[in-house]
Amino acid sequence: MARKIDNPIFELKGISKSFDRRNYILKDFNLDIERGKSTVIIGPSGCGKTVTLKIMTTLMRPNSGEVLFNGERIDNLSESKLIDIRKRTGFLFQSGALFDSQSVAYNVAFPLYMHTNKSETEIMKIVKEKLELVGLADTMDRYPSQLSGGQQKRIALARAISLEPEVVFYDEPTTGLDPLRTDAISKLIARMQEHLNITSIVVTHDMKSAYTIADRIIMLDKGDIIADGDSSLIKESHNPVVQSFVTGDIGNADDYII
Amino acid sequence: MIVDRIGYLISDFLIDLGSFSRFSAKVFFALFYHKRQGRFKHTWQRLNRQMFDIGIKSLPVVMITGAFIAMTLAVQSYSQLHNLGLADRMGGLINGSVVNELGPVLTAFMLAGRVGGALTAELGTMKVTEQIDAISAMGSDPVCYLVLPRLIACVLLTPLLTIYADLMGVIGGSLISIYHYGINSEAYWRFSADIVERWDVCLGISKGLFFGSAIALISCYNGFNCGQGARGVGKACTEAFVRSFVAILAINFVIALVSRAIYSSFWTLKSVI
Repeated sequence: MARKIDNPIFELKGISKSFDRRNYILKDFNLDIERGKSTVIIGPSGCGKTVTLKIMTTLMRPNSGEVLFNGERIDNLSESKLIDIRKRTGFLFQSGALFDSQSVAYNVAFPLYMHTNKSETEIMKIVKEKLELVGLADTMDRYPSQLSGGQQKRIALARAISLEPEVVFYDEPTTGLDPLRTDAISKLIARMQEHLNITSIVVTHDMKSAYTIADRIIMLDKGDIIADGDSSLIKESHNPVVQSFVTGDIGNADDYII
Repeated sequence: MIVDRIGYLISDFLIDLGSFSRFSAKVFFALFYHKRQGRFKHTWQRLNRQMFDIGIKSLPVVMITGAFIAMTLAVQSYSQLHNLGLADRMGGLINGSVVNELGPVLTAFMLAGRVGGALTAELGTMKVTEQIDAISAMGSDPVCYLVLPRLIACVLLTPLLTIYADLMGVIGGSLISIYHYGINSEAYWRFSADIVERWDVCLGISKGLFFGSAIALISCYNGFNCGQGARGVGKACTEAFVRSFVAILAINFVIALVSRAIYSSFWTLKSVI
């Protein structure tokens, strides 16, 4: 049910993934990601959203199938050959995954230290710019544990965009945040998209956030795409599973949730 | 049923051993062929920090261990040697044991507990909170960034810490023997010099290189492969501790066999050479 896209930035072709070789999380899965747009992948917990994201970033390798980035196959590359590709992508982890023993400034500067030959002054200037972009320029000398969950997500976002990547992956960016912070992060992601003209791939189960961010929404269920379109198409979908998910109303289908 | 269980245990052990060997090979490959990541200043800062944590902070506990074990050995051996009229020879016994076995092995045990546990817990927590994945996602090699500084610090500092443990053992043993039991000081040191050769000192210290590598590799491997949650980190720490202990004892045994063979083949010819 996945749409075919012209000149996609990412292509997943016939991907299968299982952790025990018996139960497949994804089986013969195909997906194209549009260049320069925000694609949001939604679906219930355990449907394979995060696995799809991690396969795209090659943090997880598929059992079979191909992952293509800008038309080049990347799932079979060694870790050292993936460095150049990973420099062109940013990843916002569900937990933020900030280095808790390092300052905010070091966290945001980490990719710059690793992949550029810029001076300390230049790096700190970039760090400040990125932190200003996420509205936390005054936290440079603080440590992640001294920040709230929402602030940590914003710092992680600043780190993900510090090398000005072509693509940013967001794994449940609003999980665990209160409604106001959820809205703030969603708007921030949408703003990043406009400002930096990047391709965003977001995994979430928060529908309000998905509507704010998405140019295109894909719904997964049990490893299959059951809906693919813009926000209005998802809202008007006649598929009962899609409807119950987007409205948050389980109706009589409680066995589906449980 | 029992055969099944034994079969599973053996296959789990072999899978784990294979996985550990791959990890070790990756670490050694990274040590010699890695593309330097990050500026030198930060590489040195990371190594410096590890050396401080592993070396300087372990120094008191290692020195105390060396002193107490030699003093206890002096107390235990005096009663037996005194009855045989061989108390003067205690120096050789105490210093030989300390320099050859007790100093290096107990230093390694202390480091496995103090440093190994901390390494596993730190890396395990980083694994559970996706910080290790984040390093990969940012195009860096977690082995280069996290394991190499810890391995280098352990390998370089375990022999140095062994020297301190030996030193305190020699001092502690001599204080108890000479000042507490009144053994003739000249005889004590002469018999020590007769028994403890340069070979023993070098062998004891060089054991630290192997013990240090084993502690760092096992601890980092367990941290990188720890299970989910606080329970996973705790389990990884316990396993790292036990495995390091067993590895230290096994390596010590192998070194004893190999060194004895080398010693009997070459060292006895030193007067001829």
